[in-house]
Amino acid sequence: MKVIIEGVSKEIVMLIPMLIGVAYMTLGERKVLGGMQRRRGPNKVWIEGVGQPIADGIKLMIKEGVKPMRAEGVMYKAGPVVTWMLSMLGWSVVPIGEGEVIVDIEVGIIVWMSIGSLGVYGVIIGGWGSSSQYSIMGGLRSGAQMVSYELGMGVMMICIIIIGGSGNISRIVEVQEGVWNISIMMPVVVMYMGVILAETSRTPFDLPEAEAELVAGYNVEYGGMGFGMYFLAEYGNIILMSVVSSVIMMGGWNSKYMRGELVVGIKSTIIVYVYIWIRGSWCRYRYDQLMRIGWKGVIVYVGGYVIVMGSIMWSIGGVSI
Amino acid sequence: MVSVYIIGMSLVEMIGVIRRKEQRIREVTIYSMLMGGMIEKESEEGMKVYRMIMEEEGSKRGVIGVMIIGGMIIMLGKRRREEEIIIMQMSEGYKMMMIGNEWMIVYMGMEWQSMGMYSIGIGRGKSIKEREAGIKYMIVSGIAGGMYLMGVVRNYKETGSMKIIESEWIGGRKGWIIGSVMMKIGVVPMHMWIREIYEGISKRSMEVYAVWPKWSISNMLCRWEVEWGRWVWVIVVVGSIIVGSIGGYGEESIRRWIGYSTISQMGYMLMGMSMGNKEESVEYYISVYSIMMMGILGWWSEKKERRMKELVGEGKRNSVKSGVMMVVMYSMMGMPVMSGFWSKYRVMMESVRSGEYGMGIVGVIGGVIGGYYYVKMIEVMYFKEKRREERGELEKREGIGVMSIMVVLVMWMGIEERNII
Amino acid sequence: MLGVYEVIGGIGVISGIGVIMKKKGVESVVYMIISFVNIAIWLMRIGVEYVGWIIMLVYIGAIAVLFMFVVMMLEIREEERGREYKGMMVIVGMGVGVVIGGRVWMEEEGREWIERKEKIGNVMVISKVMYGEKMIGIIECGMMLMLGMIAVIMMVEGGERKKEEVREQELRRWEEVIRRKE
Repeated sequence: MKVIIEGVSKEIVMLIPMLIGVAYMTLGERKVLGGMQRRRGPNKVWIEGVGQPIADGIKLMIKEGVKPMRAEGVMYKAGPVVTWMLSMLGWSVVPIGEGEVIVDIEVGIIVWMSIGSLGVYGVIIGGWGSSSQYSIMGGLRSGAQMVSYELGMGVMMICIIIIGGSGNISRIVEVQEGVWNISIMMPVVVMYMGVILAETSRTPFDLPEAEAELVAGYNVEYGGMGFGMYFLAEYGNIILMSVVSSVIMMGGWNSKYMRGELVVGIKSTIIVYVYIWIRGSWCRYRYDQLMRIGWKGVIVYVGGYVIVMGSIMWSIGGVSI
Repeated sequence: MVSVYIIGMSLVEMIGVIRRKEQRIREVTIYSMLMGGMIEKESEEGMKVYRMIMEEEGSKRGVIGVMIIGGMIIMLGKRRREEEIIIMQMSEGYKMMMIGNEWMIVYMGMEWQSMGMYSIGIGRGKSIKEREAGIKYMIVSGIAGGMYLMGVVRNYKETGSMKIIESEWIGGRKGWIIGSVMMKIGVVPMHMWIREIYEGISKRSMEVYAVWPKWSISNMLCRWEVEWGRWVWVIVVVGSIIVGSIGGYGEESIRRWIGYSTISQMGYMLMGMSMGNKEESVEYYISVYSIMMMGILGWWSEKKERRMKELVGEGKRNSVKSGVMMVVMYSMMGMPVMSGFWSKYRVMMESVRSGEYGMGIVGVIGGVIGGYYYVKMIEVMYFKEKRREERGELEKREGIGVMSIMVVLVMWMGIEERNII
Repeated sequence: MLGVYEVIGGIGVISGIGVIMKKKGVESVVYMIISFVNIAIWLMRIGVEYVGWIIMLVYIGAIAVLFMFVVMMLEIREEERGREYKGMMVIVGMGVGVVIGGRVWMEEEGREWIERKEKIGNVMVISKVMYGEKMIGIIECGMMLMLGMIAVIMMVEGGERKKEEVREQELRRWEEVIRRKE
């Protein structure tokens, strides 16, 4: 019993800042996009629009959730919940500081990846449960995209595991004390950025919500808190992905001048900013281009890089700390 | 040498990928398989390659036979290049089945070959019948694979070892594995699929289905040194002899006729599996069976007929081929002088020697009953009235060569019976 | 008192029954996924968490998604096919489960695997076995996959196709054009 209470409290301590982070990330996104397009962005609520996310949240919460008449009851309700829960669950193995992790296990990176891959179900179930052609097509497209890029991500993770010599994320950070993985992985780091963009369905890979073809993708029938949960899960995934990237690629809490959680925070914020930056400046790919990049580009090249990396690591006898 | 074969295999795959010249693939495939098989008979080199990965000598005759049969199968008819490559790869799976010294390796070999089998069975996927038969075979082999794995798990749990030789065959734990193997060769409790699937698949697939798996599985069983539970063994053998003999009695379709013949022949094969010297009984039986079946397939590969009625008057139209076929049929039936008699004689002696007199009697009776439908074929070919329309023969098949070699072998193995093994 | 194993196994069995009792294909697949998740959790509990998570990643995250795609695209009509067999199937399945599971439950379990795991770690044991003594199995798997690819090509390609040499055609046409001009 004690273990369960401890775990739950740890999770809550980790999640509440994350939720606040999600709220303010939306504000930041709108501000940055506004700046890029030479307008102001939200600036009416409180000082310079600081209260905007809270107002949005209250609006989403008190809005009536209308269930479509033909929707499948359980599936329709389960979709957003599953997505949101899995998005939260991913935090359980990610360290945000030295020893500050909920469970520290040997196969941590695989756990994180498999939780991420389960996230497809929320999207597909929600899309199917809405009983609308747009939702089903959106769900299928989104699912296919996530499954395809999951493979590319998996191959990247093989590289990281080879370099770190373990699947334990804390150990991977320890290995990066001198040299960050981002410099070792330099030839494929652009692909890594593309893969994490596609995994979280962001521009230029935001095909699931292509407004021109599908109205808004899998979540078109959702309103109120159903939509809110999808929204939270999406932005939560972005923040999680940024934190994981900063931990496994950019050295985690190691840096030249200081150590600790703040370093992870700064690095993650930089990656989140890159997300928004890309959204403001790039246009969307077509679906066939997306699939071609995933299957014929990323997987092939990164697979080749796995061989290179493996041979190098084999020849120098692995890393030791 | 196996190395000839391996070089040939890689050549074929390279040519297949790069050049797409069909004729060349075919020749290289046939020659490398036949050469690899025949040269290997004399040399120790071949086994060395496998010993590198296996650390143990497998059933050498079985490996040679697999390669020669594979070469023959490709020789029988013109196929598409992918099919030839698949057949070549399947032979490797059969070798794994016969050489492998661990349960899982054997399992992978089994799955490997059955993957090839059902892709060949489905073929181009144009005819619904073929597709249905291929998918049915997939389901059958899937169930068999599941049973095999279940058996392996139970075996590992009780013996703590994955080696085939180390694990003893006691109690009920062999049931799952034996059941799955029985399903693959289609003897009695699991014979239901043979009728439907043999009816559905195309003639090219039949050439693969009818000989190859039986050869390799029986060699594999010889090597495993299975100690059969007495009653299981008796039921399997007696049941499949009876079902095979009586079931094929009124059969009009040639495919199903081959299927029932297969069931009863496999029953005889398992009869010799009881104890003692399996080289004399089982291996002799299975090689004779393969030779006879290849002969029949060689004859049949040039025919368009599907039913037995359509063969009326065949004896006058193609007198040489039908005469040769008659020899094979008599051998299949178990006529003396031909090798079919000696093979049946040997397995029956084996069962009598192990104290199963009843089984020997059933074997004789089944042979007599089953003999009828081999004779029926001859009767149809020679003694029935001639029908009006005639069908031409298929072009571009090379069955006649295979068939003549096989008939010579049938006679030779019969006459020289004393000197073999 | 119910233990963790009983709860996990119970949910697994109930969702396994749900797979065959549900009318809609998609719901069946959802039940199948629940059953898979329970199997994965079971494996984690008995100490082979690497295998459990790999099942989570590969079976649930990739293969079952493809199942779901296919089932959704097929739009199976809600026919009650095979309804009369469902009850029998459940009984047969439960019988087999009781026979197998009961025997496993009653017998003593082997600890060798977990003991080895404790010393050098879960992943290392698997990699040592996979790439060491069972290396030939991996090679076999690779060859099997290659056969599968060739077979798919064979089945999909259909009849013989004439290969078009685009460049030659262009050149030929060009020559023709020039000749016509002359």
